[in-house]
Amino acid sequence: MIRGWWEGVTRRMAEEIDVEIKHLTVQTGTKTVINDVSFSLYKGEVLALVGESGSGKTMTALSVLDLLPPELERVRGEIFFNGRNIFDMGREEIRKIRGKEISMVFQEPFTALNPVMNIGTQLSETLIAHGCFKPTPSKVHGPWSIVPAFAKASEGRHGPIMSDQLKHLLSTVKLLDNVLTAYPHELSGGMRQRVMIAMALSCGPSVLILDEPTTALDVSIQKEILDLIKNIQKERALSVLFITHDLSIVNLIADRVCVMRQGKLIEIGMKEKVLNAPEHEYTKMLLGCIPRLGDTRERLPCF
Amino acid sequence: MNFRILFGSIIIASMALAAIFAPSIAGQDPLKTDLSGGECLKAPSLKHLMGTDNLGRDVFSRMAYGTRVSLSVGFIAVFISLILGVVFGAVSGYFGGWVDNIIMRTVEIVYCFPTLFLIMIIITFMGPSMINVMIVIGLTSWPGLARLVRAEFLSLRERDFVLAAKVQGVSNLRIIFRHVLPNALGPVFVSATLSVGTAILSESSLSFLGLGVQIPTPSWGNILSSGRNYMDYAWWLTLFPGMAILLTVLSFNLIGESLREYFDPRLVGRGN
Amino acid sequence: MINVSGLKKYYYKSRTFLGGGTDVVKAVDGVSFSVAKGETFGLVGESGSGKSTIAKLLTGIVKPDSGDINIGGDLDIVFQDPYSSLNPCMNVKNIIGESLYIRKVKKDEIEKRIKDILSLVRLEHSVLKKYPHQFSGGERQRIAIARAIVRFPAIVILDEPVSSLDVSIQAGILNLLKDLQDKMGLTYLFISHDLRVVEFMSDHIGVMKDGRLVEIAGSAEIYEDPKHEYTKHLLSSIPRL
Repeated sequence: MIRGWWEGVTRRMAEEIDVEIKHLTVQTGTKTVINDVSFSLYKGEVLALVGESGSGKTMTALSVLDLLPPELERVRGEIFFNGRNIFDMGREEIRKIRGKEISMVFQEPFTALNPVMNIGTQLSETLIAHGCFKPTPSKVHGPWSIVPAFAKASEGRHGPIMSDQLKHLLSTVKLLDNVLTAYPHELSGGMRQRVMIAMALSCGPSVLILDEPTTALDVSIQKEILDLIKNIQKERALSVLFITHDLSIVNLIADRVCVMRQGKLIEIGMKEKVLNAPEHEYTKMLLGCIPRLGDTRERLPCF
Repeated sequence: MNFRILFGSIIIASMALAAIFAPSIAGQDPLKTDLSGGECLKAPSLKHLMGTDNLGRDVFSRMAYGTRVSLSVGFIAVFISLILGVVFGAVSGYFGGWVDNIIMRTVEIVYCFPTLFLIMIIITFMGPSMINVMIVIGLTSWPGLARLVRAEFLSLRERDFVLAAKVQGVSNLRIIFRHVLPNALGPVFVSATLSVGTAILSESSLSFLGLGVQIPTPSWGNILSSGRNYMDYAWWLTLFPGMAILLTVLSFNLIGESLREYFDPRLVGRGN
Repeated sequence: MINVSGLKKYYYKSRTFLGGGTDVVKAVDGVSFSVAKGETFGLVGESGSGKSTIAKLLTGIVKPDSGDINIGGDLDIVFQDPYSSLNPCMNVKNIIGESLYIRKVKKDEIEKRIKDILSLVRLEHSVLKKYPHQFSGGERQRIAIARAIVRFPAIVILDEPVSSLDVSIQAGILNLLKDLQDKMGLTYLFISHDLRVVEFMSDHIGVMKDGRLVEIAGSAEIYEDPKHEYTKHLLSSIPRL
């Protein structure tokens, strides 16, 4: 019913679908974590997946990469990426998609970075691991360096072969070159999150999943990161699935919004529609319970 | 039920029962010598389940009474070290500053000596006896526990619930015993369990060297020691006490390791 | 009710392992403000601005380097993370009742007070025998609030009390805090990084940056007519619906 409604009002019918989730149902024991969720991520759009903790939003995103924790079991449903069901793919095939075509940024950048490796090393390891490092011919030293594995060994931690590519990566997230030699603890939260975004972008993916990337950050840094994500998304025509619990961020970043609650999809539609004229009571409550500047209400609505 | 806990508990429970009911299961007086010719160094039989020793004493009875010695030394020594370790560690970790400095430097000094060597030196001064062995093992094994307790206190004292208690005017003593210590008990308990095994081993070593429980009182260590002269033709004199020590120490270690996994779930599955 | 003047707290840390010089962190650098009885004073600032240090200085857990703190009554605190602020080894009854117990309040009096407080924070009486891990984040925060108000303090310091909660739970806690203030005449020092929440709760707001209060103003003036550049910057960063 919901599907029919939004397909009618959105102008996206004819556009290409990047990721399509169909009737996804995930359980742990007898508890249903995701309950018959279907939606599509179109090419070049930002879809915000909004919900409170326990709504199943992160699990939905992890399903897209087939990275559900072992205690969760997919009971039903398919996820199509470029027209192919990812649950039918082999382990090697899905591994090639992860990080290369669909990549993900998590909430807490500090735990995702190795504290004893500098940023340059970690970035280059990501590049080598995904096989997307491009040696610059003019800078190759010695015959060995053509082979990536030898290049890595002979060039040490952040050798000149990769540094052009690394510098370019850093510049896309507006970081200076000296970050390459810095260690994670020397960077601020915002800079770490930029590094994580650079890593996610390193192999030129077409789909980016962002799981609460700004929740741990201060408001002014949050704004900078959101602006950065929006710019990169426009430049590269990325399809972005943006997970958040904060509807007010949605306004800054999303084209469409999908609201989830207790594993169910509650409402999906264009941002303007959902934020200004929400259909569902739950969405109305979610919008109402955020205090606004100049709020004259004495009490906030809550369940 | 975890197999290791099950195995360890069964062994220790049967050892404990043997210790408590030693007089009734022994059947014979462990001190009664029988030098009437054929009764010396007899191999295990129905009459003497573990054979007899060079003085014709029943080894099974001696082993049963020896269990009393080993287990009580193990538990009492660890109890002493637990009290010292928790008190010093808690004070050190909670208050910090110069108190911490003095206690930790003392710990380091004690650490400088090999423990068994230190125990032997003190025992030669105090004279060998079961009570002295307990006290000395207890007195020399607390530094490890103190360090552990201190580390737990250092991280727990910064937690918000401790700050909240301070704000409410709860006394330091009450914060230590009511708020911090209960949260630190998991690892302490694990470490104490492992120390029981070590203490039993120390007692056996001391008794083996003649510095522990004195003959004729039986202990696993001195049974083993007296048996070593006859190892060629009286295997039962060394096998049974050796096995007893091995199984008991192993059981305490198995239980300790399982408890550690229980309290620190990160370790689970690492071994498989 | 609260009067703070010229408050300073510096932290020193050695720059290298071998002690090659020290860095000074000016956590609180000359802060003065006052809060009237029954009022809510909001402190807003980003991480590292020193707002939580002020909370610790007021409670006396941390001693100031210089400056005066005058507090006109009992004071208690609610922390941000309800997972770390409740002792996992104590049941709810002991957690809430401890401050009364150590003050030698009679046993049946304690029982009665705890039950009254529980209905104030809208929790069932059946929670008393349970332990913190059996509750959700919102419920834990209600327990932490109950602990803070059980001995009827004059002042409650709220150090980011809703920052780790979901928006709908956050709204419930904010409403509850307002109700409690009305019923008990509490004075609040409300600390948060979220200007919207601070503005919703407070009568006056102080904006903190690098250990200093850059602006103090009435709650409405702060967003209608911000004076300091940093306040304007903060306001412009807030996502609007």
